Amino acid sequence: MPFKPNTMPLGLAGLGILLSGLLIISSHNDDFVKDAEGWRGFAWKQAILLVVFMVLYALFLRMSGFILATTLFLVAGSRLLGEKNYVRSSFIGLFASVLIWYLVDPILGIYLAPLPSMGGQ
Amino acid sequence: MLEGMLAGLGAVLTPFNLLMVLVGCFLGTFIGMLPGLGPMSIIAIMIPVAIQLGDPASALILLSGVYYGAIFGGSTSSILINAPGVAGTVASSFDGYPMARAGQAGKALTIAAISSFAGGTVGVILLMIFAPVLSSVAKLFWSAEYFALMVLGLTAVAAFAGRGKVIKAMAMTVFGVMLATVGESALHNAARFTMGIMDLQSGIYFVTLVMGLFALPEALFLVLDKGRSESIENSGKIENLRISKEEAIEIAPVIGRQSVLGFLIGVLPGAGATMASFLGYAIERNLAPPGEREKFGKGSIRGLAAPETANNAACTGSFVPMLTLGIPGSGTTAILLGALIALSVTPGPRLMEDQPEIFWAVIMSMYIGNIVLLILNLPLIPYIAKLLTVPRHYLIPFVVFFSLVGAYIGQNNGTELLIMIGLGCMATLLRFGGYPLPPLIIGFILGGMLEDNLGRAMRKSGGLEFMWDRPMTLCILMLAVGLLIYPIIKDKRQPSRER
Repeated sequence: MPFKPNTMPLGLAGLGILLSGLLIISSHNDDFVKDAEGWRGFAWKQAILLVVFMVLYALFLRMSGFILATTLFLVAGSRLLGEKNYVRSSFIGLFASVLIWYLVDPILGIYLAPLPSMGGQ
Repeated sequence: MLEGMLAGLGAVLTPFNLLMVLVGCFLGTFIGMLPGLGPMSIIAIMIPVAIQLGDPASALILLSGVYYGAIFGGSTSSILINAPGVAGTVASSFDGYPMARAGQAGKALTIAAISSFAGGTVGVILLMIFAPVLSSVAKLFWSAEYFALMVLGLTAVAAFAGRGKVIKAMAMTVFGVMLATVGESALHNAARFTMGIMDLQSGIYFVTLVMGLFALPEALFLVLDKGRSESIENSGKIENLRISKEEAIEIAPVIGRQSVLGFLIGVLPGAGATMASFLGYAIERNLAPPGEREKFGKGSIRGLAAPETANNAACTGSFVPMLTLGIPGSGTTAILLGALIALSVTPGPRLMEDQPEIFWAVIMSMYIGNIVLLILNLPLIPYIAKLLTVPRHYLIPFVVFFSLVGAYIGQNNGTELLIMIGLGCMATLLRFGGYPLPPLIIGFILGGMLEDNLGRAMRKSGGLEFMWDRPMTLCILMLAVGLLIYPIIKDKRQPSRER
């Protein structure tokens, strides 16, 4: 039996099907219902919005530059979670993003476009 | 061995590497104290920095320091606010938190630090004895045995997953190995599962996966479950750190027993610190005189010393299979193994011969890390604990930000971040379903090597005959099958009381 690029994926797929079947057979419907009750009290809206902010950060990081994107992300994130003072959150966000950029780019030598005009390289 | 130890000591005792131990221990303690952020997340966040250091010894020294610091930091939050960062420090809160509530937070932290130091130190000594022996045995292995050993490691991780979770852990392990097949196969140069995305050509970036699986879900859980992060603000004052001579004498035998037991449990793949700390607690409770036994759960110093010692000794023990066989025994050592591979170091039996300075530098850095934690961190704890008062509306965005930046600076590519966010959401849902994530990362780390060794063994024997041709391979594989079947049968026989 020769070893090909698909040998391992095929074996894994077989194992995956077997384990999924076992999971379905051994699962208890009651557990899911009980767990779902507990999930109701969770802050789903905030968590989903935070994920949306992360996606926006990932999409615009290169285009808008590290400092601007990071400051906006930190301000938006802290606002979402209850910070009401924009001045304080903007200051903390800006300070943190400049500090991290300084540590990563000039000190560690990893290129990180800081501003929009320097992005997209 | 003495030469290697001296070389390791020489590598650690350079001013730069000493600084790395200090920075690692301090950062590890600092971040590890934040509830929810366990050693895996912290090491994941620090990997890009460690890789940038370039020198594997310095990088590992930094990461080992972070690891030890994170364990100590996790115990601190367990004791002060009853919010264990990881499962391994849950048992420490049983007696540590009641002590803190009774105004003995300082004493509890000192006992935790001394027990951790002793557990870690005995663990390092045992590691120095065990690792070379296992290394020399492992040199007899070829690809078939390696394949069998990896299968054994993966099945052991699933087998120790806990009651009712064995199949879920196995599914996660298989899923991890599946993720490792994304990208070009090393043996054939054929692209697989890239879906036309160029960034996936070289596979899923290890840091992206680790951040997505551990750091992001922690942050999302802190958002989802408000109570979990709000307890942070209720930490007590830490004043007197001293313990009496009588108390030291009382915990000495506990520390001695649990150091050895914890180490031995840590060596077993998959067992790790959690099992060691719970088992250590249970054993000491049974061994305690009747009057003392009553105090367990209400602020017993034995009840605190036992899990703390066993936890640290087990963490050291988990380095044995990683350094000597290249097989990680826990999620944290899997992440460290990934970091080693990223630094072009291949752990395994040849590491001790080919790069003894790295092998011994890791061991020596553990020892120095333990000393640093005891001498420097303990007096600083009252100040570091101020971090616990950081409001959640800053804490969470910063945790997310560090995770995103960690994945971005390695690759400079937004797609990587999107993959990470997707993995983070998936991991959060998996955690809701009770699927353990460490088996996934171990599967991912071992996946490439597993395929490599399977391919070589199949080519050499012309098929799957290698599995029964060599007695050692057959024995290891049979042990793996036994390990896998036993917990499933046990689960089936005993109707679950947990459900």
